[in-house]
Amino acid sequence: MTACIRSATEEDEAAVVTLWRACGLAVGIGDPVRDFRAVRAKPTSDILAAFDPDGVLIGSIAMGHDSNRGWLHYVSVDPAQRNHGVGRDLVRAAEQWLAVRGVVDVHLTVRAANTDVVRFYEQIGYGAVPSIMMEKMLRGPGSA
Amino acid sequence: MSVVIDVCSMNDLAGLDALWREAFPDDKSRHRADAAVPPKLAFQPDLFLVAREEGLVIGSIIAGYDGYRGHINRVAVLKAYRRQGVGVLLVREAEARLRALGCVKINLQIRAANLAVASFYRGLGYDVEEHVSMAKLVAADRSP
Repeated sequence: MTACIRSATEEDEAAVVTLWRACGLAVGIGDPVRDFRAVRAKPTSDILAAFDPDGVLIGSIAMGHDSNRGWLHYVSVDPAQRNHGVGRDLVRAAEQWLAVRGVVDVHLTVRAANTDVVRFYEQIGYGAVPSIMMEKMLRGPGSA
Repeated sequence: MSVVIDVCSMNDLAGLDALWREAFPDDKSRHRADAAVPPKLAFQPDLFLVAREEGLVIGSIIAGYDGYRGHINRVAVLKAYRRQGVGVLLVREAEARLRALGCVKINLQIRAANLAVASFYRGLGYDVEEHVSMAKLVAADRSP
């Protein structure tokens, strides 16, 4: 399937957030509506959306960079549309979005509960980095 | 000892080079000060901090905000100045600056060979998250 990929707009918010929830990505402290708006609002990050030929949203990805590294977040494909290359095309599009901004070192993290997806990333050129990840909340959810 | 935390400038280049060669002896050339400092000073320069004592660069931190998550990298203190709280000062100042940008959460990666440093970050409120970190260079690495 050839997906049409473009930058997500305000009008895509409901569909994209629904997709993220359907893909199990709205977990923990994440507030997908807040994230959708925040990522789109900043010059260093954006959200791409993939549509089928009928204009139905089938995939999405968020990417951002801090000049040193690019990061992929919310990589999501409609569960009914998987294994047709949509995810691969979204990751490539995100890599290109980063590359034109001078960022060539792309990183992502996979939750421990979701390690089946590691194979997908390995097939498209990503390698696991032997490391541990630590994180800290700067303020509680909802207090922003 | 009077330590000043300040934003980095090109005048710190030689000091950073010495600091990073001591702290990160296995660095690839693209991470060396002469290659890495100018791009960062052109992008989010307020998030690139050094600690100086009497003008000598004794510590560094490069924070980044990709629009979604905050990141901290290049946390280094000269060996002769460790265990005096310099690293804590650097991390706290970077956290304050990320928070001011609207950042909700900071992620950091610790290389597998450097796990002993995890206790330093635990003391600052960071917790280990069970994730697989993955990375890909999307253009040719210019390192020799």
